[in-house]
Amino acid sequence: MVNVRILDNGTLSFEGIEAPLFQILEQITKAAESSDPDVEARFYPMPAEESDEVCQDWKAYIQPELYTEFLASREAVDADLRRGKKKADGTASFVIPPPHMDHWLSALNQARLALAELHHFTEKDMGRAPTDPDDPREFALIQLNIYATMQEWLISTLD
Amino acid sequence: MSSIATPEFKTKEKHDLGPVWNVVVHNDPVNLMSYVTLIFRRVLGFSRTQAEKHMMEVHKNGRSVVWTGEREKAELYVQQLHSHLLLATLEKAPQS
Repeated sequence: MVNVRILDNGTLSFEGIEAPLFQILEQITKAAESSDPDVEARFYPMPAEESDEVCQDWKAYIQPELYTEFLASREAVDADLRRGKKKADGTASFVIPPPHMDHWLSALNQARLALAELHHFTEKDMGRAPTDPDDPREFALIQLNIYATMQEWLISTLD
Repeated sequence: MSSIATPEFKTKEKHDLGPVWNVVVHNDPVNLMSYVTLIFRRVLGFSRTQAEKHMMEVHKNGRSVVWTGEREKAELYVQQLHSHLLLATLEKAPQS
C-alpha cells in the first residue's frame, strides 16, 4: 500500500509504491509529449475566432511561452521521479518538494489531456472501468484514471 | 502668485467607451471539476462559492462568462487560463 506523508517543510513523501504503479507514474512525461495535431490544438487553443488579429500575436508570443511552461513542468516531474528510490522488495519511493506541486498538477493534466485526445476518449469512456490492460487504449484509460486520482489528491492537499 | 486653472471634467457617455470583452471558459470533459475550481480561484481571485458556481455553469451549460472588462486584461486572463490548460476565449460582450 502506498504510504503518503506530508513532511514538516511541506514536501510530499510517497513510499511503498508497487512497481507497476511507479512505471505508470514514470510515463507521465512521455504521455504528455505528443506532436499529434489534435493534442497540439488542445494544448494551444486560439483565444478568439481565427480572423481576430490577436490570434497571430498569440501564435508568435504566447504559444512559445506556454510551450516553455509546459516543458518546465514535465522536466520537474521527470526529475522528481528520477530521484526516486527503488527498494529490493520492488517498491519505490519519491518526494515532491513544495515548489514542484504546481508542476505536477500541470504535467498530470497535460498527460490526461494528451491521452484523451490520442485515444478519443469520451465522457462515457472516462466513467467506465478499464478492461484489458494489454490493450493499448485500455491501458491509456488506466493511466488516465491513475493520473486523475493523483491530481485529485494533490488538489485536496493544496486546498 | 500664479493662479490654478480650474480643471475641466468631461464625462464620457457609455457608448464612447471601447467595447467590453467577456472571458469565456468552455467545457472540457477531461479537466477535473476540482481542478477547474482551483484554477478559477487562483487566476480570477474567486471565492470557493463563486468558483464552484462558474465551474458548474461550464459543466452544465458548456460555457461560463468568468470575467468582463477591457480587452487587454481579458487577454491576460485568457493567457493565464490557457497556461493551466483550460479552454478559454475572449468574446466581445453584447452592447446593453
